[in-house]
Amino acid sequence: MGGENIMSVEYVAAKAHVLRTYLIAPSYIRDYLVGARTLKDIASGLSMTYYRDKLVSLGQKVTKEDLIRVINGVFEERYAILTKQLPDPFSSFVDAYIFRFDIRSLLRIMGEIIANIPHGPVSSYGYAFSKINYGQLLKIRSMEDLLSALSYTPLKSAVPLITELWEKYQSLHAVELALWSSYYRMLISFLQELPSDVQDPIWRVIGTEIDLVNISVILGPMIYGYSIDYLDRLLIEKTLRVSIADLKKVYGLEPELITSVVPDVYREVVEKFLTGRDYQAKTLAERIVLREVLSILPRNPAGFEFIFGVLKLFEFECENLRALIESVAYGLEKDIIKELMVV
Amino acid sequence: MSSEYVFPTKIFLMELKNKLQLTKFAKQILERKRDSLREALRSTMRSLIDVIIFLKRELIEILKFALATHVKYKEVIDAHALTSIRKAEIEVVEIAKGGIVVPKFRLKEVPVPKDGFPEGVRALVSRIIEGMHNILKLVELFVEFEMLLREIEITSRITNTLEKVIIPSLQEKIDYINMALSEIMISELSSLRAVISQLEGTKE
Repeated sequence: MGGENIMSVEYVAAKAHVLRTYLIAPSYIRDYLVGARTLKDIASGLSMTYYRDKLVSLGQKVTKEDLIRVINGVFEERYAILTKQLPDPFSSFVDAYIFRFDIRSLLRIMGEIIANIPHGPVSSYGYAFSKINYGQLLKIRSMEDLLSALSYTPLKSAVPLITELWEKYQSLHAVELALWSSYYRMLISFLQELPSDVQDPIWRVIGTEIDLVNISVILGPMIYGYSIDYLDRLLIEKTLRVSIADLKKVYGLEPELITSVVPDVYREVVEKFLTGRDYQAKTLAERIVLREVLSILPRNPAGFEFIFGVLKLFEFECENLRALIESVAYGLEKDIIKELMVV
Repeated sequence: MSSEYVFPTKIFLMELKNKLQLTKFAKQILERKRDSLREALRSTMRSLIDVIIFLKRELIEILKFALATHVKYKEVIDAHALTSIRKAEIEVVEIAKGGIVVPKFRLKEVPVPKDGFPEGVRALVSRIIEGMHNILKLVELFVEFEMLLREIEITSRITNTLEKVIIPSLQEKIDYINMALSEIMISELSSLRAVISQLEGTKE
């Protein structure tokens, strides 16, 4: 790594320190914002935070869409500030990481194509940092053409596998799993390009996410009796704490209890999945990732791990606020909203 | 009296009397049917209240669960929403209740997709399938309730028509014929008296 790169990383890390101070305190979300009864209450609660200036333009009548647009706008702005001056290979890693947002939009487009329903406006799919030209993509009318178009995205190496699974199973679920496993494999390859001292802390976060994805994948057929044909191929081999060989034992001739093959840290998540409480399991899983993020922040306050950690915190804040807005719009109770918050 | 043409004859009178008797009998049967329907309605209402009290918690729980899951898995649910439409097979069994036929729904088969759903969607689908029996029970009671109400309305309307229109009209006709016949009889009697006195005068 050159001296110039180190300077740039330190410079961006300094910016990350400043941006971190703008984050909403977890206690403010947990104790105050979750108590909001209306969207106006949320807007009023957010006006005490960094979001104040952005909310001014909304006027008196606040809608769910307006608030979500503001939240996404702030996330895009923060992401741009953090990544604009990042040198390679850090910027390539971050670009690869942020592709997860595009995968969600891709899935939505695929669902609409399969169900043969019209697409929404282009702006509802893409973000300012999107690596996909959604204007072109939305003109595609068949899954086959859409999968071919993936060759022009960072997932180009996964196109043959995804196409094969689609042709064989004609199932969005298979395509979705293939997209996510390809995404994490791609992310691991970009991670390996980073300096060795940075890899370990970042891997703790990404590895935790991969462990949780693998656990969720392995539980599907076990609880709900789905076919395991393709699941076996889609488990991500490189893991942090869980062992793929152990996970596969739950389908062996002498099946083992899933709770006995996962590390203690994930046990509660598994228990929630087993009782069909997926949304609680997901929140718990995200809280585990959050704990990993918070644990890597103090390691090197001037390094890339700090920048990545702060980026993750922005993502969590964005997701928390979106979930809060949606929940209040649905009229969910405070206790359930608390269960959905990753704080 | 109705504008219907009335023959002031004994045969017609007997016909009308039979009709009246039959109508009164029909009215009695319909009144009994109405009472039985009302009893069935009361019993359905009691069941409905019990079921609602029992299901209220469970159905609200399902609703809350669905909303919370949608908040957490919005993109996934939106993507999968219309791609995996499967139809559940529901058997309709007809049974008699309060004199009418009401349907009973039985969940015969819920197709489980072989390839499955992703995290979030699978739990939601599973929960809704679990709650299907209860949802069907509620629907069944509402259908039964509506059918009973409709049948009571029809029966009451017919009973009222019989009681307020048909029976008084028949009675009125009978009274009219009775009156007409007695007038004819009186007039015939007077004629006969006149003929008798004429005959007696001739003899003398």
